[in-house]
Order: sequence, then structure tokens, then C-alpha cells
Amino acid sequence: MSTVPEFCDVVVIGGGPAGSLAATYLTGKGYSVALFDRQKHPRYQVGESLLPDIWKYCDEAGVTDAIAGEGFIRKAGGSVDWNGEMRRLSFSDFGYTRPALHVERERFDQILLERARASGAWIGEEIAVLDADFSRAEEDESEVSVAYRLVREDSASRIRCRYVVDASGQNGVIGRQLGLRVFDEAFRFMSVWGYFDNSSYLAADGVIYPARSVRQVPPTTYVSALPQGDGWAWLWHIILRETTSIGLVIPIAWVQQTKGSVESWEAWFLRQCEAIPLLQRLLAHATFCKGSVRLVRNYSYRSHRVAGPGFFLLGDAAGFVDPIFSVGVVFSMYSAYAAAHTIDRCFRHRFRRDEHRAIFSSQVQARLELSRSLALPYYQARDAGHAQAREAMGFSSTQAQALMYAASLLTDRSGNFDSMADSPEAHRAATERVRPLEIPRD
Amino acid sequence: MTKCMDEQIFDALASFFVQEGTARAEAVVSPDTDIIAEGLVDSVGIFKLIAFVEESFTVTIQPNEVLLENFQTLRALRNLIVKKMDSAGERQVTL
Repeated sequence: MSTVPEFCDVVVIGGGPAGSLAATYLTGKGYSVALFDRQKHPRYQVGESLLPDIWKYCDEAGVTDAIAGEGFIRKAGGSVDWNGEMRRLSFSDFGYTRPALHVERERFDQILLERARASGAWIGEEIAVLDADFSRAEEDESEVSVAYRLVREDSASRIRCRYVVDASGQNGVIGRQLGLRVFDEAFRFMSVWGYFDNSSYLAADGVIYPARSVRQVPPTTYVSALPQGDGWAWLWHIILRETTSIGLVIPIAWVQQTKGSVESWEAWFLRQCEAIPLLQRLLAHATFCKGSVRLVRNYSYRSHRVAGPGFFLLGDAAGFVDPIFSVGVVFSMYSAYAAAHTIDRCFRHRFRRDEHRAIFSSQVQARLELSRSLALPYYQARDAGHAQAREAMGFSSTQAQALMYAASLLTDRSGNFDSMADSPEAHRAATERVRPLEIPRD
Repeated sequence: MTKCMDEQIFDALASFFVQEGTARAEAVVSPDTDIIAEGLVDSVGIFKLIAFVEESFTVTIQPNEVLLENFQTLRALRNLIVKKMDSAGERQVTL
């Protein structure tokens, strides 16, 4: 690794999809970028189900061929078991011609980071950003000083830049420093997940196929409501090339009631998996990967500001909701695009920085609010942000609205959507395209 | 405002979609096409369209003007642009 620069136009914190794409877009526009990641890639990351919307951002970054050439699993859609009803959704029914993917995120993220490096961004791995000084960010020439530390060394150094992009994920370096993060107190969830080898999977025809068929018969992402979950809790089953990711999204209160203090997370997780008959059929010949169980607490949050003088928050650093509709990576990529575009505008018209930032903030917040409104059960029309979500919905195509509506229908969350959308056409298209699925008995 | 001027505005706006590849060169985006519902402008396209309008017509779009009612059709956009050009013209006259 070459010496850390002393100055650059933009410092990007984090080398996930949001950070790597922001860096790639910005270097493409001619700006100098230094990207810091406290880990070394490839590094583990959960969140393996990707919607076909990723491709337009990959096209824009010139990384489509590298992603397509990797040979990730192409999926056919989703199979959803909710309160005793099994239904499916295929992206092709909604006019999508490009595939949705199941990816090993360590590899997917590495490809995006390598693209950022190839585009000319300076990439510093195993460097932790400590904080940023924004006291001169509002001067004519915005200036921000960012403190960082090489993880193997003790002493901190500083780099100067014009803007900071915080794509540090759930760590939220800048959001935390500035006290911007707001947790959804009414939605106290956590997630626990692990990996199984040789799991069977559900295809779009409702048939269960063995793991070895995954290249011949595309899988679906299988999602199921959990029996005691009150319509909130659910599990995912995402088959990858070598293994299968299975995770639970559950109210913290439920975990407190069901998990004894001496029971390990692994034992508790496996006990929950055993309680779901269809999952047990998929796992009949599977082997649990010992030591693979991980968890995240404090699940759902947003930021009361996503931009300010000298900074922009992207992806999970800006907000995170129940991942039931797999929008996380798409939102990261979208916010990366929006930030790069806005920073370019700010450089070109520095006296209109506040206006450009305000457009970024309202668009990104609206999009985040739309995700919240679709993902959070019991989201209320009176909740702050509902008007923003409506506006974001209004800015969505009929096709995109139909897909969102269909997804919310599958998980009994369509009440949220009904208060949001005005498009009877999208409504009808969604209802027609959600199909009942018969799973043959053994 | 003359009809000719209107046509120029519509032509310039329509060229955005050809440039972006969301509409084929021979396909005309009519003044009343719902460019959002049709997917000609998406969440990414809206940023590009704002920049395009600002640069092509030398106007500035304020954050509180980025609303569906101003961006749903080329006619709505034309109305916004003309309003801005008119008020800029008046300012020049009074100066």
C-alpha cells in the first residue's frame, strides 16, 4: 500500500457497495478520492440476496461484466410462506429482463472495491477513520480534516479533503460522531443467522431440488413467516454456490422469552430452524456449518439528517430497515450515485451547495422512508416521513410500484402500501402477478 | 411565449431521453407522456434531469420544486422552466 495522501477531493469511509461505487463514480467525474476500510477485503458480510435493480448502478460504474462473469447464482424470484399461504413472485412477470442474484458478499464487495481501485481511487485497507473536523466545511472552499489510524499502529494521522462520504455501514462513523442516528423504538428487532452446506432449495415451480441442481434450475429466495412471530418475524433461505444462508428476523422480546441464559445462540438458532416444517425438508440432507452463527441487535434505524456541510451519509450508514425486500444493497448503490452526482454539482456551483445538498437529502430520505413504510409492520400514515414516502412512491414507475405492492402483498404488509400509492394500475398488476404455489408433499 | 419557443423547449427536453438511452431516437416523448409512470425517468434519472434542465435553460431548480407535479410530464416541466425564465427576464429588465 502506498503512502496515504495528505489531501484529496473526497474521503470515502467504507469499502462496501456504497463506498466503492461512490468512489468509482467520483473518480469517473475527475475527482481525487481516498477510500478507507478498517478491514481487509475479501471480508465477511451478510446480505446475499440482490434485486435486478443493481444492474443499472453496475452499468454506470463499468463493473457489469466483472459481476456477470463471476458466475453468481441467478435466482428466479421469491417463494413466500406467510400465515399458511404459499405464494411466489417472479421478476420476469414485472418486466425485468436482467437477473436477480444470490451472491457471496465478500466476493461481490471485493469486485466492486477492485473496480474503485482500477478507476483511480486510492484504496486504504485496514485503516480506521476516527472522526472528522467539519469546522471549516462551510467556508467558500469547503475543507474537512479526517483523522484515521492504521489498525496495526497506534498513532493517528489526518487527511484533508473537501467532502466526506460516510459509507461505513452499521458503524456509522460520522452519523455517530454527529449524533444523527435514530432507532425505531417501536420496532425492536434483531437478526440471527448461520450457514448450512448441501441444503435443498425451492424453485419457481414449487418443487424442492437438491443443492447440486442449482446451476440447472434457478432457485428462489425462500421467505417464511415464523409461527410465533405475530406476522412480524420471518426467516430467509438463500442458496449460494457452496453453502446456504439461513437467518431469522425476530422481535427482541420474543428472544428474551424463548432463549434461556445458558443456551448458546447456536443451539437457540437451530431450535428455531427445527420448528419450521418446510425448512426441515430443505435441510434434510444438509450439514450445519459449526461456528457460523452470527447476530445483529438494534435492528432498525434512520438518520435525522443524511447530509450536512462537508458530509453525506450512504447506505446502511444512513439508515437500515427490516431487510425483507432485499433493498439494502440497491439503496446503497442509489445513495452512492446520488452522493457522487451531488458532490459534482457542489464542486461546480459552490455557492449553491446548500440547495444541491437539500435535493440529495430529500430524495435519499424519501427513498429510505419508502423502504421503511414497506418493510415495517404497523407503519402508520401519521408517522413522520409518510408524506416523503408518498412522494418517493409517486416518483416510481408503474412497474416498480407493482413490484413493491406485490412484495408487500406476499407478507401481509400491503396495508402500508395502500396508504401510499395512488396507482390502481400498479395495484391490479401486482395482484395478478402474485401466484399461489403448491408445494408437493413428500 | 410563442408556440415556436414551446416547441424548442419540448424538443430540448425530449433530447434528454435520447441522450440517456431511455427512449429511442425515433420515438418521440410527447408533452403529455407520464415520464415517471412509464419509467422514462427513475430515481437516478431525476438527478440527471434536474442537472440537464438547469444547464440547458440556465435556470435553477429549488429543492422545494422537485415534486411530482413539476416533473411528471414535459408540459409540467415546460411550465416550470417558462415561469423561471420569465421571472429571470423581469429581473434583468428592472436592473
